Amino acid sequence: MREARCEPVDWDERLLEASLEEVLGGAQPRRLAHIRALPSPPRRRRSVALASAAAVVLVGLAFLWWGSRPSEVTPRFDLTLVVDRGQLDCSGSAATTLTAPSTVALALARGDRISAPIDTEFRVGHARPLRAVAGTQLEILDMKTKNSRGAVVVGAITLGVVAGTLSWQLMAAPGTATAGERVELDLSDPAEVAMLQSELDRLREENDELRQAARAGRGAERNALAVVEDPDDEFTPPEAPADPQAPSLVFSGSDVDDLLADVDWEVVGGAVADMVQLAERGITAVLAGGDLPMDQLAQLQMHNAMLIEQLAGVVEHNLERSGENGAFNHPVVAANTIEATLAAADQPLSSDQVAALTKVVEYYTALDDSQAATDYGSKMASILAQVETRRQFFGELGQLLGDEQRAALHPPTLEGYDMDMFDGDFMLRYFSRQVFVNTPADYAGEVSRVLGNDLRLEGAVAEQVQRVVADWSTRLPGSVFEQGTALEQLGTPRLLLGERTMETARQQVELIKQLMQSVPLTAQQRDALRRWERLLVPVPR
Amino acid sequence: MERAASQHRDVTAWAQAHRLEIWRYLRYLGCEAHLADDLVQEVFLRAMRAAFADRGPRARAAWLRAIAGNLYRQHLRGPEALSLDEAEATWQARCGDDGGESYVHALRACVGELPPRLRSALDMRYAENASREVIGARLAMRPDGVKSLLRRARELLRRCIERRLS
Repeated sequence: MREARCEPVDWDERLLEASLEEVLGGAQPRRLAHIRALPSPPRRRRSVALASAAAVVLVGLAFLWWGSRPSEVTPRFDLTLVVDRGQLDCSGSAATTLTAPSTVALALARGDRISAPIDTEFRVGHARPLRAVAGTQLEILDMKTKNSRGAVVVGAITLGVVAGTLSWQLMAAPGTATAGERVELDLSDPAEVAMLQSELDRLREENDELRQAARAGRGAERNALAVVEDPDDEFTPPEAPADPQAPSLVFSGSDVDDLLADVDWEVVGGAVADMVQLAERGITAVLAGGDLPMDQLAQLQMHNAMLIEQLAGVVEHNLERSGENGAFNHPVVAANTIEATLAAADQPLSSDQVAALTKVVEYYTALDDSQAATDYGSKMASILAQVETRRQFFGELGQLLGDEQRAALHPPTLEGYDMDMFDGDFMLRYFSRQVFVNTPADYAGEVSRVLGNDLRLEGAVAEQVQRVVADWSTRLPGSVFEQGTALEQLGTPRLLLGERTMETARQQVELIKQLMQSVPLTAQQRDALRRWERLLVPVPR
Repeated sequence: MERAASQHRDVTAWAQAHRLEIWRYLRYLGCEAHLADDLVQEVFLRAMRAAFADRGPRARAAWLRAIAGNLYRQHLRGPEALSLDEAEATWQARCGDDGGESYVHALRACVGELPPRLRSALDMRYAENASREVIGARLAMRPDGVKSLLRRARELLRRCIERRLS
């Protein structure tokens, strides 16, 4: 029983819960018994409380009225009659005529009669279809009840053929009953039977597994203790074998969990820990005026390939929405990677940290999922929303780590750049490229050129787009056009300041909106613009 | 006698029109299915005995819901434990137009849009009544992960339904 509570109730949640039980759980109201005034004897209404206490409820059918003298009253049960063809006349306590097609729940009792004035096909509850020739008369001889899920239901009904012929087709074998014969109909719900069969199968499987385990145990005992006369007496249940399905994720709860089931997190953690060190050493060397050492570059690429191999499933899953890098900083993936990386760097998370991180991961995974289900109007806006969320995620996550743990994850020289795997900006690397320019006009020219190619713009429309882009470029914030840093000027490796990239993404989202609103693009061009995902980041020389 | 017969015909028609809504409403209040079945019967029995100036299906549905709510509250024996006003307000907003048909229809569509993993978890939870442990074993997740997975699925469904109904 879902009792009402004194704490505030989330009625929306209640509504969803009840509706899910209806839609997925198959919870349905049973048919109402007849709301009708019965002739005498006077009735006594069954009280709700009494009914509950007695726990006697009829599923599918209600048992509403008792006579004033129960001992003289034959209980009646609603049975669903489906007339597919012809006509049925019911006499007795539920006198009525049913003409095909009809489905009616009737309160029937022993002794009631059902007749078919013409050739008729019909069903009683979930029983097999029956065919009655014209003039057939049936009498309900017996109704067997059973307890199902705490409720009393009619499990079977016995019909006597008073006159005529009743026939049916059961599998390949037809059956017939004529006057004087009886027919027992199983009214079990096929869904319930299937469910019970499934449960039975499951129990059988478990039983088989236990037998096999027991046999294996006995075999082991015999091999080890050949002198034991009665192995069964000495039998000790073997330890359960390792469950191949055992959860291996420290952080889970996403729709990519199954794609992470086979990931070797030790490999991932080791690779990332090495990459952080290699990146730091390499960038330091570059900033000192040297080149990125080729051996370090090769190692970086090797580790990168290992990561992609381990996380290939998630990368593929996320590629369309978040790009390759987006797969790595998905909250669940990133949290597990961080856990593994810190373990590899001898800075493991404490249980308290795991507990705290779990909440953060759950929240941002839910947010990420809801964003995935949201239409932002353009691919670029969707990417931006994800990156904003992941920035917040990594911000909160970082606050839960110690200084040494943070240092093991973030190369200090890359702080603020988009190459930090554990920062939201990292996701944008997949979509971005730097555009070395001297002026906003240069930048506008490059953006127009790329747009023209990607959207296949021509003639007046292309010119109109150029004007909108040129106007847009003059209004870009100063942070976008700040002189490129030394690392940004390198070109290779491609490094961009995270803030510059983010701001450019925000501005490009605005540009896409303006183009949608002000330029008469064709349907194909609009679609291409909606899906446009090139992030052109200006790096002033 | 004629009035009684007329009233009876009305209630029979009302039962056909509002049975499902009243049952859903009771389930929404937290009532178990079998008790909801009993209370629905009781609602229409009371309706048959009561004098009610019928001002159309909406007002009638609200009246029947009020009877249902009061019956359930009596069953709980703790009037303070169930705020029917709040329940009714949410019901009116989400299901007031058609007894929850649109809501259920939207829910069916939204369930169909869920990612397969979330859909599986919901099926196991609601169709099979599986425990978090069982679901977790099948999905290779921890029970806590299943809890958050289901919570996320419900959150997505709420948003999706809201979008569809708006």
